[in-house]
Amino acid sequence: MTGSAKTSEFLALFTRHQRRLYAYIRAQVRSPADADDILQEASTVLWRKFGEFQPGTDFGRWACRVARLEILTHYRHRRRLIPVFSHTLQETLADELADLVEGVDERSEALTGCLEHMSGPARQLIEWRYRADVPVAQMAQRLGRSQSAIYKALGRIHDLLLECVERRLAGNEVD
Amino acid sequence: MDAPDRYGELRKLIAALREGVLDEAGARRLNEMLAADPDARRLYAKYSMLQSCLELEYGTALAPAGPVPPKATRAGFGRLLASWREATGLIFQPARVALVAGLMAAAFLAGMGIVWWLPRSGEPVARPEVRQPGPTVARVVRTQDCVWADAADAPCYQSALEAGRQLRLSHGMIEIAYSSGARMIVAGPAEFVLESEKSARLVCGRIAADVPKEASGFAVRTQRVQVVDLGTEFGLSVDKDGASEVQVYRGRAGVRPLDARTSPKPLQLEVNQAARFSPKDGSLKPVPVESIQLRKPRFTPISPKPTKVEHDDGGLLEANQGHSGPIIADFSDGPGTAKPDQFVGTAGEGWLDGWQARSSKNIDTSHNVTRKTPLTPDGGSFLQVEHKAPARVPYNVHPYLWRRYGDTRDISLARPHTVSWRFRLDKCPGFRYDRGDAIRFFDYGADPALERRLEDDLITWHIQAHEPGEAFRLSDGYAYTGWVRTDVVMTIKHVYEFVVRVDPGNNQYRVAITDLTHQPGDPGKAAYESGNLRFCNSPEDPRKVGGTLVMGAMLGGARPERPQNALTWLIYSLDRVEIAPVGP
Repeated sequence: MTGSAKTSEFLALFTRHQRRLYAYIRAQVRSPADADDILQEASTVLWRKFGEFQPGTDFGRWACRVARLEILTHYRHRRRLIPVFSHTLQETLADELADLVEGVDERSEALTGCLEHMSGPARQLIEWRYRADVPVAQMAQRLGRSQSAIYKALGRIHDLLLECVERRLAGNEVD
Repeated sequence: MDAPDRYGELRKLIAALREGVLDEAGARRLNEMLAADPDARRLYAKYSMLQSCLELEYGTALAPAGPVPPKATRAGFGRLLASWREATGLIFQPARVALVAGLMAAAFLAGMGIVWWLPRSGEPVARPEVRQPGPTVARVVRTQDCVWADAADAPCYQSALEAGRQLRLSHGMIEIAYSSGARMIVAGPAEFVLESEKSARLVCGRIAADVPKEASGFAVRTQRVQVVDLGTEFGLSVDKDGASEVQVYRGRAGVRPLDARTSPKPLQLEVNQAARFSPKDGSLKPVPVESIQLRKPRFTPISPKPTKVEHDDGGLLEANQGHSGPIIADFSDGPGTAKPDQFVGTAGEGWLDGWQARSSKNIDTSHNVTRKTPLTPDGGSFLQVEHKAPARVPYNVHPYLWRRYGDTRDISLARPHTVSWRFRLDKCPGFRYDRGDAIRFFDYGADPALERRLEDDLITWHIQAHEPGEAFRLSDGYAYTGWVRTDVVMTIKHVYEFVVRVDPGNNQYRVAITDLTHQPGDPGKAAYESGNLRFCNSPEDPRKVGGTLVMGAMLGGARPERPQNALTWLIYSLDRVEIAPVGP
């Protein structure tokens, strides 16, 4: 394979599986910034090791395996950072998560449908939380509620969104 | 769906983790629950994927995500990017890696081969507004200490300005030559629109227009009044409420209200006559010239060239002789304590915007900038910068101060010029050298438009020092293909003068460093002069890669948890920042 063909193939595969990879890493770290760092490191390693990838096999699965090592490396090099999960649990979770995140694209599509039907304060809170990164204290101040009330509301909204996604995936709800 | 009562506690723990408020006990409990129950792990995974999807949904709603392709070869990078774009139709936006942040961050990230380009959730990523350029109607012929509200869209000396171009000048002065022959000086703060070669709209601010015969009929309007030239030189101001004043300096001008229903009759003003429009009652009245507040915008004469001691071998420092109009920031103006962009420096033309303090990764670092005096006995005020950060920030953050400069009458970025500054490291309490922290300067080739820099197969390098007691190094900031150790050791409280000579046409880049504290009696003798920095390529268009001065830090390691609310990383001082032409 020529260099440019190899590059094109890598890019095509990486693009197709990037959401899956992000979700896989994100489930094992505390913040989007940590996920970002690891993804960045993993993408470099993936490119470097792309020669080892067997064409025709599952790129996403292979990428998750590489990312798993990068997560371990990330925490090993930053000993002051506290991982979310114990080492044992991480071992257990790693394979299960790799299976589960295969469906992230379908989930994402279902979520888009759910968000389209969400309006009012719930939508406002989600927008603030994810688009504008508004701190909870500020949301509480804007809405004249306690921070505890905002945490509860956000929790409830996530529960509702997950229920909606599950219903859509089960085919019980369509637009 | 799992029964809510069975997993109520788990949901609460997951929510606490999601919102960043999960304590140690909660983390232990979460681990226990997930370790014991495969269904709990599935539920956790579903919530986690929901969160990922929300982050992706909002982070990428407006900009497709994708990695910048790996760097096969430096020469091939632009081509690769082009083919990648062509294949995908994607528009890359440096959003997750914050745009500017990139100045130093990018050098590091890009050096790794691939830059992840996914916008961060919570960062609204707006596509840049696509303005269909109209015909060119004017050109910038002079600038002085300009600070633009939109730095990315800032014009510079000799920039072409098209019809419909809206400009917001926060500070400084600009002179525009219309193709009709009219000239207009605008004093900031001002907001204005170039409508055609014979008209402009002043939203707020003040201008002076000099209109020769061939441009007769040149008109400037505000929201409520229009001033039409009748062979004249006039001044016009308008405030945010719409109150306007007009004065004729030469010839005649017509002033007419634009609201035909309520407005009084038009006025014709002769030389040294003035008028005032009041938005309260819609009145337009002649008033004595002495009673108006409008002052004709005038450029401040450029200060005399600073005295520089000639270098014995006719080297770098000699370059500044015999020219006027260097771009200078010596901080003798501006308030004592302010945001950095209020420190505009003095006298020089060519600054495209003010000092800006930023940090990478959207980390809310604070940057205290104070004007103090003096840094050296012969110097005036100087700028002291303190970079602070929250107790814990992620890996690889770069707080920095930067300012852009452009061409002037005397300086072309395409021709040889020098960039010099005086620097003193005051404190570095938060630095962790073992984690790769470093102080960096200059970053030649850094550009706020990171995307553009990558496309251009980047030419970048910087001066770097890791810790007191170590020598400054000159390093390829992108690919780490090489670095040069200087002989000058960075010592806290010593004042250093850096002179960088940039000659892109001849692919020559040299650096001289002088320790003014060690050599008080011989300030012109550089302690170190580099040879040509051969790890630099010569850019095809130096204007695209030069022109950004960056001072700041690269913090390589993750910050530990600390009890304090904020941590001072680094305090340093700057003075006599100067860009000057070289040679005849």
